Amino acid sequence: MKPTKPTAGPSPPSLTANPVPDSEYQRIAAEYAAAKAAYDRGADVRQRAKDIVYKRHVGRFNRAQSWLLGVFGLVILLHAAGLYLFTSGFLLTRLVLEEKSNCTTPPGVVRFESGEGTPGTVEGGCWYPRKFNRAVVLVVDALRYDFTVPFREMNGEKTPSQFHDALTFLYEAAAEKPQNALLLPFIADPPTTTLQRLKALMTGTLPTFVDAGSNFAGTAIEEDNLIAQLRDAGKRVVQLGDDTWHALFPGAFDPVLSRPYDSFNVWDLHTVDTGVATHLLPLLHPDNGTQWDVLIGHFLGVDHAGHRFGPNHPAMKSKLKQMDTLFRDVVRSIDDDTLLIVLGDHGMDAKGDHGGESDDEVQAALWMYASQPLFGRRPGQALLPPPDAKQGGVAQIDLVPTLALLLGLPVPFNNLGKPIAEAFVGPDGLGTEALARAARITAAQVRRYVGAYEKMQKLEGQMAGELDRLWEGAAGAWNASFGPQGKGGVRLGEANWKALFDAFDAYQTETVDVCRALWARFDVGRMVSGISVLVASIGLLAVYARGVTDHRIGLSPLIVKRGAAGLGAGVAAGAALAAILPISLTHIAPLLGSAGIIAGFTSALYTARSILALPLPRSLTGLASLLLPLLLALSLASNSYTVWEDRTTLFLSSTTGALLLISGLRSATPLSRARGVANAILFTALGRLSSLSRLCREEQLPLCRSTYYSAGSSAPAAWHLALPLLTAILLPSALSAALRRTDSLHHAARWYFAIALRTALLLSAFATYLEALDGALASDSPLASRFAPHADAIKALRVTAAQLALGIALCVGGAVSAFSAPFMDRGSERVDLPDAKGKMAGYMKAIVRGEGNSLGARYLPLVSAVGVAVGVTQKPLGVAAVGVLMVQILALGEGLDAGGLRNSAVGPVGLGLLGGVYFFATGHQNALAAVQWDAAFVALRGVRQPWSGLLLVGNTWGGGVVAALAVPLVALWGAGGKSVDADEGAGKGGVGKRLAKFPQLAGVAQAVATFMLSQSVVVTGAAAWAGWLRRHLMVYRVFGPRFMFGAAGMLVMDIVALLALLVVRWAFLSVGEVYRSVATQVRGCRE
Amino acid sequence: MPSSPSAPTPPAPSDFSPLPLPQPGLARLVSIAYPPLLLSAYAASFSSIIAAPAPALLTLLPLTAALQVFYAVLCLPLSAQNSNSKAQPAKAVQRKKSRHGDWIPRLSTALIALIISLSLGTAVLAITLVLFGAPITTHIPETLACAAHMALLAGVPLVYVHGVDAERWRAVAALLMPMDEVYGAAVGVLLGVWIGAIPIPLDWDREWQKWPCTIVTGAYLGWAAGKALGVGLRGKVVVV
Repeated sequence: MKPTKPTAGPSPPSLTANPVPDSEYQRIAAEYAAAKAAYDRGADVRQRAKDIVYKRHVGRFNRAQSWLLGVFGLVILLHAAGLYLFTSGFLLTRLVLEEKSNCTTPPGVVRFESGEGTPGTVEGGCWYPRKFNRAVVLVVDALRYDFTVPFREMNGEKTPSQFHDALTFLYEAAAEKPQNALLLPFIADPPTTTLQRLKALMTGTLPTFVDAGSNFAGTAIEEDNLIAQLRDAGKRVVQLGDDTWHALFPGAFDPVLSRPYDSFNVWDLHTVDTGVATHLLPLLHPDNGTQWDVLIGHFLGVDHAGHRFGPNHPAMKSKLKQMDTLFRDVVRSIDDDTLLIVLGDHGMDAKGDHGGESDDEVQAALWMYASQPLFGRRPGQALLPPPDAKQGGVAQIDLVPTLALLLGLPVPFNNLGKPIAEAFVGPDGLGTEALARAARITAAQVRRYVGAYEKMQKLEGQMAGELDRLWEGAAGAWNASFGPQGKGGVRLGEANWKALFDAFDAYQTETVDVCRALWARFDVGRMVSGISVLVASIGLLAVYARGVTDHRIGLSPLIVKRGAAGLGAGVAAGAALAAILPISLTHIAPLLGSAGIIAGFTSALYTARSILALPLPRSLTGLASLLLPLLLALSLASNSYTVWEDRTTLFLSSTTGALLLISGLRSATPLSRARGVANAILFTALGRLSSLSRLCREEQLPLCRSTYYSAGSSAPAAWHLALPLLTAILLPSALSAALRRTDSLHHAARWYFAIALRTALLLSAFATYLEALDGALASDSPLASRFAPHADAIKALRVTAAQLALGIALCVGGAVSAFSAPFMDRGSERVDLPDAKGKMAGYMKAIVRGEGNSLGARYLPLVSAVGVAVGVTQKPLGVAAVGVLMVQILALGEGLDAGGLRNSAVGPVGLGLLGGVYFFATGHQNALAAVQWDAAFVALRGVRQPWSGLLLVGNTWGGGVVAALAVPLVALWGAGGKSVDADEGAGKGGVGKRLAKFPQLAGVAQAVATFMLSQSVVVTGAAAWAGWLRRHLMVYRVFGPRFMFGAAGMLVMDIVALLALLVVRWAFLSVGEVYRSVATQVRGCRE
Repeated sequence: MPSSPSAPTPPAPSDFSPLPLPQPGLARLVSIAYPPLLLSAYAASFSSIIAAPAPALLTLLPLTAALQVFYAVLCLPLSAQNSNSKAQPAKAVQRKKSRHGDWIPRLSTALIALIISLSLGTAVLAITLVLFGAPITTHIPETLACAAHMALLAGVPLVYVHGVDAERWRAVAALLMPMDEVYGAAVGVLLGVWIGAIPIPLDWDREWQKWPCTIVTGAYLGWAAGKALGVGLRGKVVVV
């Protein structure tokens, strides 16, 4: 330790003004004063010179850092372009046709019986005799079929759940008056998100995957649909409830009577339902009967109760009971000319979420009611509703032709559904003729649509074959009986009608299958382009991260300049090519732009080849750091490993712990050995501890038990509530202890962790408790009645507490990171030195405390601040998990430092694995249903972008965000910086002649590059396998979601790692400021 | 991977010397014939292990223990520590002693090695298994039985030849020991166990995928392979 002192303080006041040399003493004093004044004048000049030199240092540092940021910016562009290209080829697309069905032009000749009115008119019925004038459609979001049927013992379930036998009216009515009421399982096509479901329920088409994520901002439907047909027929449509409808059908609803409500606030179980109920019942009153033709109500309470508490919760029971009462009231006011439909748009899984394609998510309920006898059962069908959703279900798109024909409207142009048989066979179940007529007119429209689609997408022949044969057969049989003009008066037997119905039904069924296969068409060209770009980025990153032997910073300007030039040239060439040739601009421009970056990057590497080496591992740790991400990437080729990824990432991160152990044991001194071993064990044990927090995905059952929520709900278990408080007590102490170990607990660090961070954590815990209290209000507990009047105040307080926690963590953490002095202090230690006579004597020696870890310690506040902010968005168990993560990161840093692995790939690779481990430990899975949408409201009362999105990102990829931000931490932990400028000079072969080397900054850049490298290996693997296995049964369930979560997560982590490389400058400059005099002296000597 | 200039240089590999090859004759014959014998014993009980892992592994435990003790006494040099000549390499010790007179210290050392391995070794290895993802609250007998087998395979010969000397055990754990048949077998057991975990998550619905069948199998196969490779790579040190 070299004693050093910071810049000199103000000089002492000089001596008296009028010196009279009347004594020896005064003469000496005067001479001293004169000399000192001269020295001080000189010191001033010297100080100014030092300042200028220091500013130049900082300028050089800034330039070096900008070039590095430029390199990573190019890498992120490559990643984004590759992911975009792959995604646009992988996610399925379907052409939207703009044709509309017309009342007067049915897809074939239509003849009505006498007394059924005139075809081609709304009064009589456009294509089919009208049965009702008006309809009430009540959507109960997430109404699963088993919510509506009586409980019976099955699958080992002996006792009814909360959701059983609460909404009993639908089943009772269907069982007592089967001719008036009909209850059926209503099977949804995945994805089971509300927006996609509403689209399908109104247009009759199949959803494609690309829409899955657009639940936030609904986009207007441009295809033909029921609402458009209703408007064309001059009907007034009133909508109450979920405002998604207005996003899908802007301007389609009666602006005076409609009452849209915000759909996304899942915390709120009652506002929407109460609103719909208060406006619905008056409208149903006979006095108001003239004000509307079709009434659409959309209840969200059941869905929100599911998201928030899960199906097996008292809140769900009371919600369903409320619906039960409401439907009983509604039925009383339904007149003979009105059709009442109650339906669920999708179901929910065991913890109340949805989006995927598990049985529980797709099995919704459909209930239709008419006050006059309407519904029949075909011969052989049971009168009672199906006991479970395994039998007798109808597809959700079947509602579209059913509703259209019953209301006398044309079937929407793009509908693929078929009429629901029970609604057409007549109360006696013998009306096969009516059913066959409905099936025929629907199938004919399907045929017309298929023809138009083929023409549009130039698919001649692809939809032909079996489809043509089926159609010819059905239409031929129809024409044989009636002639092409459909002459009337022909009487066919029951068997003939049944044969006709079966033929048209078979055609419709086959068409749906063909379309499903067709819209599962991938653009292999784009997918290959995307994968190629990603693979190239891996190669470049590998060389840049692990193959540069000298002067990484000097290499960077070359890469940035040529890469940027290549990017510009590539994009321009792409635009030109797209203008000349029939190639899609969105394909060729990103591809050639990426190719330009890759070419520029490669040529830069070639120019600097004298300082490059093959990036091959030369040691066990190097080999392991290569193998760990590679194994993870390979494992994603198997659906089993993808399903069990929470276990495989733990296995791999524990292997990192074993590497730390081995390296620690190899360390030179017993002290650092002990430190290495202790931290390796701590690292591994904490990883295993965090893995106890998990949310099982459906495929893992029954071999997995979720701990993240209490069983069958999405509320945390009671004991979890102790964890945020425990974290607030322990985590700041642990962070302080880590700094005390390196003697870095000085200046702001003394209060930042213990007071600021702890306050933020306590506020965050307080918000969690308020949330739990708010949740308890929905149940029948005694707490509920006591606090119910204050529900609004509780909610407001919770939001405020969460905002305060975020504000304190980010603002104070950011301020300390940006402005604090480094966590070092002047101190002294006793040394025994021999004096002149050779006797040992004690001296006090000046030392700088905290010098050995000045950079790492100075960077910690930022990581911890973001960690705490991420914790605010988590559930109680997730808060503790993020706390454990931060301690584990410190253990990793200590272990790497002790084992001499600071510059090896182990640290960044280990951090990448931790990002995966904590994705799962914070209750996530690579499944849409596991997204914790409610996190968007933790600190907000409604949706407010971009904050809601940021909160959701922090919740979903929180572990990865903290890990990415910690990359500089583990690269610098235990590295004492003495100045901002450690070393200068050109690299070998004249690379970077005018740039300083800054080995520590270059080390951080290397770590960031290695981190991005390990991430891109895994995500490229996920993309490649998803593309390769695109016809696999599990592509939507397993491979597709894994790719999408991985891709989004990689971009998030890329950006955070880039920001980390930027903000690490605060640590360097703060430490450098203290050492500026030393740096100047060093440089002065050199000059 | 370009190594950092600040990385401490590892201690010279020559701190310890590898074990000598077993003496030609009975010892070498046993050393060569032993792995097939033990693997056959394992293979014979494999179906019962799959049927009921914990009891079957416990049943197999005495046999493996006896064979390991027998192998150590017959084929391996006694630990330098136990023969009171710490400074001298184990090789010299073996030559000096008469061939008939030292079977009592050999047997007692082997038994002590057995006890240490079965107690301490099992505990440490069971914890390690849990840290790598073995179930914590369920399957405890299976995990313990698995760890006990690993301890027998890797631990008994190691304790027998290295004693309880801290510096030697640090070298063992730090992968600094030069390769020989004992060390190779121990490393092989750990690698075999690591690889043995890989088939578990696959959805093949096979009985043998249940915990800890693949792990124990990996331990036995890794032991045999490591023992053979340890002889082949005798004297080499892993570079970290």
